[in-house]
Amino acid sequence: MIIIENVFVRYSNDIEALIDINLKVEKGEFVYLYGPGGSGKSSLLKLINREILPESGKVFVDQQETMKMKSSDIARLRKKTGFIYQDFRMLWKRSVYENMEFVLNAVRMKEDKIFDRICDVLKIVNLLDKKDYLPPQLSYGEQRGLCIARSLVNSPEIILADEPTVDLDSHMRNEIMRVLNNIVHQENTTVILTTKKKDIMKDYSHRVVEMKEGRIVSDSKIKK
Amino acid sequence: MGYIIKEVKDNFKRYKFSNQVCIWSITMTMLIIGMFLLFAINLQMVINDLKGSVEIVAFLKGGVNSRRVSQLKAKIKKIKNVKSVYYSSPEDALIEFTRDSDLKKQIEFIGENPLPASFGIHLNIESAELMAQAAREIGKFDSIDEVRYGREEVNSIIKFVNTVKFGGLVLVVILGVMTMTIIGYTIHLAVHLRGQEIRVMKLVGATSWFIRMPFLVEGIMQGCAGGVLSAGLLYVVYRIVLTKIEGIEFLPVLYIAVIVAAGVILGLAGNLLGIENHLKERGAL
Repeated sequence: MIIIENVFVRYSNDIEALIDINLKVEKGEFVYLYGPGGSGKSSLLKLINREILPESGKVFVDQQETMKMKSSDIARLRKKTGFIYQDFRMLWKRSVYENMEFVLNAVRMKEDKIFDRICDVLKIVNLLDKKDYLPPQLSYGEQRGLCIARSLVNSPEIILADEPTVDLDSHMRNEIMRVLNNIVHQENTTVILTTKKKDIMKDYSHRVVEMKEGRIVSDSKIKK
Repeated sequence: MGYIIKEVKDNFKRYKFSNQVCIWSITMTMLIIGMFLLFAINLQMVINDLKGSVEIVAFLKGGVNSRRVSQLKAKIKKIKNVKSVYYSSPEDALIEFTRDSDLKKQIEFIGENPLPASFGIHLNIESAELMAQAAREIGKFDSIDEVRYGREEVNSIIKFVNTVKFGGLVLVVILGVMTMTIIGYTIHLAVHLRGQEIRVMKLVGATSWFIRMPFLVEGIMQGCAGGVLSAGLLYVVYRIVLTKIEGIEFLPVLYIAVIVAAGVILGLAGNLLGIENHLKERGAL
């Protein structure tokens, strides 16, 4: 469970990114953070992943307050979190396979299970035949696919997806949404996904948290 | 462990150029230090020879019998800082003296051996004052007629030795600081190039030690390679150039081991400092 209480975040350039944020996300919930660019969606994801710290307020992930985490706790938090970054954050000098292998090594998965797990996940994003490619050799959509695959490979408890379908064709977009929804239903994974577009929300039951200028302006559930 | 070995092996391929730069920087640094060590140990040998060449000569009064000579020799040996004593009879002195043809003619003119028996005394000299003190003690023995030593010569040798030692120390400090700074920055830069990778590693949940370990092993291997290469190059320089200078000796094995160990420490420390900077940057990360 993720609990955010009265959070206020201000960046070093004095921009107020998040203002008086209160949010509770249950385990296994699929939440869309919807809002225009600059509304604080990405900041909220980074806050949960402890990449930024609040000026005031508290953030709890599985009852642990992120502000009070030691470096080993932060590593543990990120091991159970899969983050799909807008700017990918790849290990550019490592192959597709090695990018994913690194994550599994970090969570200390047994050597004999790593290969099968990576192949299974690469199949989902149609990158199995490109597992030996370096990220710069992939198309933009494929790089995004790799970023998604990397976030899924260690079977995370939480997926934080920062506009994962932006710039993708409709087929790829639908495929990614199908994968993420399946994960929520089959593995009880929590997914928080940011988007500027309403059309990706149309096919599945979901909760929509709308943000504007750093504040949450609405919170609603839609059933399909 | 398997992960670390694989990472290090792959990183040497992935970051071939920066690894090569680090290894060559360590090689050049250790080569310079090795050359200096080579110079220093050979200089020390010259200094030892110089020190050994300084001696006190104690002339004996006439008619001192061989029993008394032995007693005197034993007494002189017991004096502080005396390293060795040898006896030179009037006959020995004559043979030595008449090696010079002009002096030989003068002796022939006199018609008899005017040279006295003497003791040649070598000391572990650390100061001219200690030498003077030893000379005074020797002069007090009743069968000793006169004690001579080159006070000025001793003073200049000691001054020379001290200057060389001080100069060497200053040079070592300057050289050390200079090379360590250069190598530190080189390795730091090589690690910095991988800063983005380190940040991504942290974001996917790698612990600090998980990230740090391959870097440290890489540093050890870079240092080891640099140390061995520098020792090899130093030997090549010695064989090609320095063997042409008479009396120059190569570094003992212990010194070679020190060069390799220093290379390892350099590589390890450089990588450790570089990685720590990245692991600590950005509070929230």
